[in-house]
Amino acid sequence: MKPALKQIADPLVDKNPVAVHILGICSALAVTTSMSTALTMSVALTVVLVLAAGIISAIRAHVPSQIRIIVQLTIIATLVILADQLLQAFAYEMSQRLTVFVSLIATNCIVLGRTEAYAMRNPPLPSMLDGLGNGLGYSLVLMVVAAIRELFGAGSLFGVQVLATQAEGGWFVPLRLMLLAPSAFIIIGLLVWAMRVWRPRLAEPREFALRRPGKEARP
Amino acid sequence: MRATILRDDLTALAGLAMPLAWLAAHDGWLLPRLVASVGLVLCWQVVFALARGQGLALHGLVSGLLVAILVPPEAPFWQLVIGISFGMVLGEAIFGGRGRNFVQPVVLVLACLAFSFTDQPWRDPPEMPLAAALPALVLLVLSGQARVTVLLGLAAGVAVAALVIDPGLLAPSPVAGALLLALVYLSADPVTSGATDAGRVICGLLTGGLAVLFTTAGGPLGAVVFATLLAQVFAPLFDSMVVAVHVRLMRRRAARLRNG
Repeated sequence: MKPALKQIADPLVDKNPVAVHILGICSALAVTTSMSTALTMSVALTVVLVLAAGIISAIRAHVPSQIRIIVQLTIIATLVILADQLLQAFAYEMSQRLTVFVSLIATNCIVLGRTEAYAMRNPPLPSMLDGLGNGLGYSLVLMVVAAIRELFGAGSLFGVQVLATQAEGGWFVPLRLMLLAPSAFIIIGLLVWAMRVWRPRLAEPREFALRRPGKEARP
Repeated sequence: MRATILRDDLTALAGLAMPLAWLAAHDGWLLPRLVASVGLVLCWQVVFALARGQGLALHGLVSGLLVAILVPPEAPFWQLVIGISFGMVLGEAIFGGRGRNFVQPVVLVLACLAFSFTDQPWRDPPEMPLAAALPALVLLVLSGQARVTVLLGLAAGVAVAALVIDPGLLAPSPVAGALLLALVYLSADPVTSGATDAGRVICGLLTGGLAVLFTTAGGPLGAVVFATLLAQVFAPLFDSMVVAVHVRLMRRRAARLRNG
């Protein structure tokens, strides 16, 4: 595979920031009650990540090592404020539904993680590709979780009613649990489980081995 | 088969005999519900036992019976199927079976049902006199399957919280038997309610206090279930605190003896 393509494809499954590195969980459970909010959030994060990686990589030789985190955060926060203001200007209702979570992209571990681990050491173009790949990996998980939660929690996808709910004379009884935050944890947990069954080498080694079962401890 | 069947599983089953007999006389749907929930629990256990190459135990029978006893009589079966699958797989099977789980799977089943479906009174316990649940209390305490320390903590927690909030909550109620059954089988489960004696007392206190607090806002069974869920999530923390305090006390004692 071409290196550029590999950089985008790797974070989708094998190095997925949410399901493998367990980063960005907070927003993943906050905005996934419906697919439209999840999509907006995914686009906002991906754009911020790509731009931040490019800018930081371009100035990486001029940033003193002691203050590099502050510099990175300043750039990321600036981009996040821009994204937030754009949303408020052109998609006001959506920005109201996302509440504080767009502005919280500034504290998202994926963004700072990629800029600190990759963009500070690599030229701008590969950094932006890396940012794009990680943004898409985050988006993929968000869309899967949001699809499950919205379908079973409200019977709709992107706000379009797919399953007729009982309240409207249909047969489907919405699972209210799906609209609560714990369900996102459970779905992400099951996703992590499924991925490690599918790709066993993603599983970490055991931290300690259980004792071999010998004689029963109790009579 | 392990030698503990006689002590562990059969006593727990025997404790459920009276409540089942009482409910069978009042609830026409009990038998099909029993068959369905026990069958489903055993199905999940067989699936995971085959996948992991483990043996089977009888305690799934107890879990299935408890679910069938504690849900409302008109509960739709498809909702039960979702709730039981959720609780049994995520509460017990994925941790490697009974003894390695950190919340009681039946608690998780009931919590899932109460959270997900609002069209059934999941938070209200079935009517059952206190006497029907007393044999279970005695049997489980004698066999060590309901920890006395947890039960003491529970009693103290309920009493103190009820006196502070509303002494009327302690009045005899027609559902007292079902609530006692839930406390004995779910809140005082030896696997999930702490591993140190002091930790168990604290866990019991928290469960009792929270249960009374939650009763002021909803059905009493829901209150017990959510209080148990929350307290059992914290039980390992209590244990770890108790152990830390113990270690510090022992270190201090050793230093005192050394410096004598």
